[in-house]
Amino acid sequence: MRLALHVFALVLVSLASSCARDAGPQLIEVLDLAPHEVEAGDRVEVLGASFPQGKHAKMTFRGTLHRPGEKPESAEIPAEGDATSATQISIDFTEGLQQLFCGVGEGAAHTTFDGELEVSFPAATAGAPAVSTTLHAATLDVRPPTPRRAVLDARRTEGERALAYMGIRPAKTSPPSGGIVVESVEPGSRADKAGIQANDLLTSLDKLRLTSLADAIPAGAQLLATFTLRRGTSPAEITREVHIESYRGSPPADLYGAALLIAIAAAVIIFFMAPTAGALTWVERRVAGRMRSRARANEAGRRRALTWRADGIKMLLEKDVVPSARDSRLFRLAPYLVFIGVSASFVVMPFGQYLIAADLDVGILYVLAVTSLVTVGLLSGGWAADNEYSLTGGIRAAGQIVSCQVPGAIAVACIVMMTGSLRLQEIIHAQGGWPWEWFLFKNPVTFATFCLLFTTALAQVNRAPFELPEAESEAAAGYATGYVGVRYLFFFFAEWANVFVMCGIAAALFMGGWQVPGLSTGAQEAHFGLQLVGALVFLAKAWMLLALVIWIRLTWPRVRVERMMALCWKRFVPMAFAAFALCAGWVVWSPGRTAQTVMGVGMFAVFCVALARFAQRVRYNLHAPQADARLNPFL
Amino acid sequence: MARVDIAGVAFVALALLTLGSAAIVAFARSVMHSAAGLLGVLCGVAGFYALLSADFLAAVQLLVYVGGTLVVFLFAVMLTLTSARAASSNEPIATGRRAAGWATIALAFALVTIALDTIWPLGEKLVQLPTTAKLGHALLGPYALPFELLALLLLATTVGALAIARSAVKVGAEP
Repeated sequence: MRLALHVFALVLVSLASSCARDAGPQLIEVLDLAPHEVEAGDRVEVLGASFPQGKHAKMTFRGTLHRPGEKPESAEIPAEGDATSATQISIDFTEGLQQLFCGVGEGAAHTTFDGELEVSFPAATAGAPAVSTTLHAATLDVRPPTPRRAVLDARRTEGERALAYMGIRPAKTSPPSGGIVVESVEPGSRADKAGIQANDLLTSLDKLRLTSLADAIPAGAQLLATFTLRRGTSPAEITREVHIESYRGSPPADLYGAALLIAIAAAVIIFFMAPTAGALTWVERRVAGRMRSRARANEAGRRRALTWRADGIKMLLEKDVVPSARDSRLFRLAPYLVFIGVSASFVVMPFGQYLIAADLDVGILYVLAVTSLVTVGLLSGGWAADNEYSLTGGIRAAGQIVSCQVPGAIAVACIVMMTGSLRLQEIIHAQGGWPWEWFLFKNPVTFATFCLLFTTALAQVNRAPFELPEAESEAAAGYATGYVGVRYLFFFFAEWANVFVMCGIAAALFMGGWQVPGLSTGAQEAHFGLQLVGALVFLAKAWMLLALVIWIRLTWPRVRVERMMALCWKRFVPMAFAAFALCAGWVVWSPGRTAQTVMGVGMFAVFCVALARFAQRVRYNLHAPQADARLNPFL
Repeated sequence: MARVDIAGVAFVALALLTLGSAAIVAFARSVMHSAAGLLGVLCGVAGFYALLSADFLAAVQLLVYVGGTLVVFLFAVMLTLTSARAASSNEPIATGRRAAGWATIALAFALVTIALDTIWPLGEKLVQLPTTAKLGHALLGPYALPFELLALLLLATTVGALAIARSAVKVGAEP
């Protein structure tokens, strides 16, 4: 009966339209939208009256989109739905619609639509106008797909900064219905002047409904930030406008922050880099003393720890000699370039969850980039000293670093591909605390990738068996031949620190970084002591790799220069490409959790068996009559 | 308007670094000093990228231009010039100085006029978001074809370079 009425109405409309096409009489009525908050996969109901049941409706959202920190954007978004009953049209809120509202990819943000909704039913007969009506003052709050952590953190920090700028301190918890509760308002602040009080519930900012701190970024189109808020138990919304004219310019507090950062950087260099480099030389000499029967390094001091300090003091006190080279300016510049290149990579060294100077989004790429300064430093230093040994050393260093960077970078790219991030903390998060959760033991390919990265890194930091740039038998001290005293110290300080950087990065990429076995990252984050333990775990892993570097140096004969190049280009580069392809295959295959655990535990078990076999063999050799304590590095 | 903010300070410092280094590149007598100046210019430009929150581009700028191009420059200089010749490899030319001076003044005038007359749009970006993922999606999505074409071009360049190097070695190796 109802349907017949509708059809009759439609016929009437089509008749009427023959004389007046544009404004047909309002035959249907739209009252509201429900729910007001949606995300992809939800169903939005348009509530109204006298809809033709079962008919397909075309709708247009016409109005403005409000997103955090963005200028309001006018939009016209088409949608479709079916009238399920006479009072209800239901729209499937698809991902496509969500994209139209929130934007795509990284830019997708929580969006509040504010405007009108036009609903129209196509005419039953051709040529007749559609039956349409408009809901004015329609609002719809659309949530984006869950953004990446980095994006969310950046927005939240920005929101906190914006609120702090206005003098609002938000409460830690927010009510489930959304909004931000004001814990306190700084007296005399902009928010205070605008009349915002403690315990107010901020419901929207510049017409964007507030659901979290990440939304609290003023749109910035005007010099005012317009809040709506609820006070006490009254359901009425009050509007308050806060002046934000100088919000754009960063507050001067930034300058203190920068000074603080520089101070921290200096502290890292003085209190961490210097002792690390020093301790490394000490350990190296101690081990060399044992393994090569070199007595001198084990002589001075109670724990034989004085030699390296004496060495350092001697270097500092030495007369600064700049050879009468033709290019003394370049000669002076080179050690600094090398030093800057190495110390800059400490910026992203992840000692712990928060013990990281800057968790850059391009983390590992940044390390590769700043290390290129080292190449330029070595090359120009070798040239400026103006003798053939220096020049040979410089050119060898540059050739070696540039060549080995290729397979090394591809090996890094394998890990980046498997985690989907260049950020060192995210790479660490992708692993676990236990060894079988590390990338090192994830599958045979990643193990090979680690070996590849480690070997090429040895060449990049001029360590044996690839220390050709300083091979004393053929190139004197290489690029450092002309340098004495502090300048020489700068070079070698940087080199030792560089070895630490290499081991630290390898520990982060392949060995789970600071994660303590058996603890979730959340549990570790919650306790300061555990974070400290995490930093120690990271340092222990890095030092283990350092021991490996020293061991290799003392046992492996030096490679000849053309063999090293051939090894790099003819072996390592194809191997790196193969590893890359296999890792890509692994990512495409993406085995289940159980399969991954089985693989990891299996790999780790094989490693443990090899280790046990090795220990057994060492023990056997040591106990053999006329013990010949030389170890075969091939096990 | 004399607000001091960190971005402003950084901008001025980077501008001084870039322009100063550019002056070294142009006026240094030794081509090696020019190369050192170029290092400053490249680092300064990378700094500008970082300041404009193009973090990925900044890192790539350093990696490609400092780690690659500049090293190749240095190699080329070292393999072709002795240090004595390099020290005066970039002598100022004696002829046509007046014409060059006038051209410079005219160009500077034009640039300053344009800079002052243009209404520069001020950035509205508030949130400093990471750019890597966006770039990745763009390169493998809408720009996949140009990206692959560039890869092909680079491959051709590499093969060409190898071919040239190989024939040179052969010629040299013949007794």
